[in-house]
Amino acid sequence: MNARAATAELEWKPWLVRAAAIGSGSAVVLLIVPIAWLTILGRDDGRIGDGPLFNAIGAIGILSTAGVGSFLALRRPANAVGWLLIALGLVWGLGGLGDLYGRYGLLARDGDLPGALEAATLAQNTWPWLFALLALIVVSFPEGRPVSRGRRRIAVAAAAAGLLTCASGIAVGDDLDPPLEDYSAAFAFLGGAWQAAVFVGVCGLLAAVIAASVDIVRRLRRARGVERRQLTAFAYGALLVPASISFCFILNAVVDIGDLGVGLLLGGAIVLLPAATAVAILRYRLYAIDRIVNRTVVYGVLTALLGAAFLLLVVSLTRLFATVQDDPSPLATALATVIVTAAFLPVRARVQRAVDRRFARRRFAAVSMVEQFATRLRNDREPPERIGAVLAEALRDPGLVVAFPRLRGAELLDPYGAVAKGLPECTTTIVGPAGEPTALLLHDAVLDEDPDVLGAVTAAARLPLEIARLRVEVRGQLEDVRASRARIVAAQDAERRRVERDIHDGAQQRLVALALSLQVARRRHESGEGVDLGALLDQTSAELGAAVEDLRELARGVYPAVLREDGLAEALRALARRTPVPVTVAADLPRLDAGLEAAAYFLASEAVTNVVRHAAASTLTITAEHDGVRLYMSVIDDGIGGADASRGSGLAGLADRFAALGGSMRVVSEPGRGTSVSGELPCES
Amino acid sequence: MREGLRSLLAGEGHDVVAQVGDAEALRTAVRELRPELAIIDVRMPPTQTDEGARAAVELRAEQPDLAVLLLSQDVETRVALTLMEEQPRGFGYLLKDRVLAIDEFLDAVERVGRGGSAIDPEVVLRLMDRRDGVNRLAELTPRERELLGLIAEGHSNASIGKRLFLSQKTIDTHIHSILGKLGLPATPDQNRRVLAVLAYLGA
Repeated sequence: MNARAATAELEWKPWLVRAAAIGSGSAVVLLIVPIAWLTILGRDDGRIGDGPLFNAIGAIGILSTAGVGSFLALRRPANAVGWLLIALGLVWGLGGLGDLYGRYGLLARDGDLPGALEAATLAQNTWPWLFALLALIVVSFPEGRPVSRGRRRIAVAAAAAGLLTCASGIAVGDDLDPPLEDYSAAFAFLGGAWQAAVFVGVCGLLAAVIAASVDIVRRLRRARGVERRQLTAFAYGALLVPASISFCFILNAVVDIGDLGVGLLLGGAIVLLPAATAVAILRYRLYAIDRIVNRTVVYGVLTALLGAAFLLLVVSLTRLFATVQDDPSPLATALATVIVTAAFLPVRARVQRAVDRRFARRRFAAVSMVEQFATRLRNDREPPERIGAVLAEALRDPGLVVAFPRLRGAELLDPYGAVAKGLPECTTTIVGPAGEPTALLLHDAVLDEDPDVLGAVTAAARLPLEIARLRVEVRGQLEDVRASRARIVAAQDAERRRVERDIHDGAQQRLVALALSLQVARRRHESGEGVDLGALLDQTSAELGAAVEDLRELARGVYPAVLREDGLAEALRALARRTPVPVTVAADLPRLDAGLEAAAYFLASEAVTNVVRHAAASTLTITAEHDGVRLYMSVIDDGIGGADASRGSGLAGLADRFAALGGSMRVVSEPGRGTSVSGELPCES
Repeated sequence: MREGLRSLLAGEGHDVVAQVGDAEALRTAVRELRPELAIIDVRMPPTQTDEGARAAVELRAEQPDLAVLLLSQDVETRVALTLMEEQPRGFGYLLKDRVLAIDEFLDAVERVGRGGSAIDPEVVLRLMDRRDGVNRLAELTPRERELLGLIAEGHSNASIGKRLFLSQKTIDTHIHSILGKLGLPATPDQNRRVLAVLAYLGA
């Protein structure tokens, strides 16, 4: 609803609006009571009613227009269409009632009812308002008022022509229409020359109705999105009335369906117009009107085609069989039925295609574009990554992005494996099952207004999307492996640098210093200075001992001898003994593969090193368990927590080491709740 | 190591005014005590990368008269050349292990302390290797190449003569021939000559 209508709605008193909508609608509906009463009173006189058929149509028309109009006015008081529908019902009802009253009063009661002639005269001049109101409804739809200058002109013309035709018709006062042709009209106060005014009015009305029809067809062609769907729904209702009237007459000519059948069909069609109008205004989002129209057309054409074929077959087969059989019609009918039934499916498919091509051109073109791409993909003439570009072209949204949810991590990836980003105001359509989508389409919100096209295109794109997704997945895994390899190499280099530095700063430094002090001593000795040999030797052997200890420590860091010789459990206990924090070790293990033992040991030693350096823990538990299939390793402390696994290169290197062995590793470290580093490795002992 | 050096230098009659363990303490000590010579390890805490070298550059900028002898774990020709080019006076760059050849080391210390140069033979060798065979170095005789190395290391004519047991006249002839073959200017200034040779080799 637009802003002006919304403010207008606020200014009105809501209860008054509701009362007006319900009251006027009910008043019109209640007109049915006197109409029915008069119909029953005059049922013996054939001239008074129009017969059950037209009575039924009239009743349905009055009830549906007033009912739907009242409902619409209640929901959208600022939209004139509701009120105009009520007015339509009112004119229809009053016209019918006045006509009945006039006929009953003049024909059955010989004019002794008051105002019978006047009522008949007025009633016979209400018809211009039906056309004027129809034109007004058409130009007011769907916004609720004629919003363009052209539409306002048509509205004014329709109202003026309606008024002129009605008023001049009453004033000129010709003889009444049959069956009241013997009576002269009441209020005839203008001369016959004024007939020209009636003529002008009728021409004006005709012009307004035609102009309104042309205008709505033009608008339908130009419209997009919501407006298009509203107009389509409206046009669908409007077109169904003449369509079903013609269908009804054709059907009645071929098979006798009786007055009741005709009444029901026509009544149904008449109800459709206000109903479609209401749906178009209130619920256009809920119904795929394009699809309803499409199906109606398909089945209409199908029925006509197959019906005609059936008739043709029966007639010609009967003629054919008549030469060999006395009563050929049952056989001909049966054969024709078989043929028509067999033809149903293929004909339906063809008709559907033809209708799609003609009426759902966008959907047809979009789907066939995607299908052609899928065929080229099957024949290896296109890479599946192009699916994004194909969908963007098919759906005519250059900003459309195909995105795949990544298996790990939160970001979306496009078919080429880059991070996918939609435009700022895009919406998302999920392709595939909601829980585990094949792909997401990030696209302009306008596409949501055509769910039919979007749905058909995504359905056609399902397989290419799936292929593209699998390729992205494989590429992603390859990238992970590559990255992990690079990290392993980097970790190796870092480790070498660490060892080099340890050697340089430790043992080498000590040995150089030692050599230097020996040189200095020799120099002094040669130059005849006294050298305290005992002190020199003490110092030298102490330095040498320290250098040896440095080297041992270094060798343990590179690969602990105890791990190689006595296995993981013993190495963990040795690690615990060297650690300045109290450590509990729970490890009852057989000897395992050296690679597994090393990975598990380095997890423990890295974790313990981190705990000693950063965690400020008071106790530490190392657990290693082996169930014959997997080795579980964990180091849990009661320290400050908050460790970030992605920051320490040592832990990242370990994660790669675990991954390389087919295992996994994780770090849980909430601030204030300690840290747990755990890993598991597959192993068969 | 530091202690060994101190006792070595003290034994030779040098006055060791301070020993420090990191770059910051080095800066403070040099600023306060204004020594003639600073012997600096390239690698120092806290980063254990090139703290010492960077401190040396800074201190030289503040005190152009300060002689600096850098001790390095590895041969890094680039660092050596850069520092040498910035301020050729009183600069030395030696591998740590050279310390063990005490006489040579003390010689280098004295040379640098007096404002001369001392470039590690390893650095010179690498520079010469890199150039070997592709240019005019190939025209030098083996003897001339040996001499060129010593020039690049920072030795004076007298020092070279002593090492190779050659007369000053012979050395002058050789040097004249070398510089001529390489197209370098014959300059009496020791440091400029070292620089020219190094620049030629490093180019």
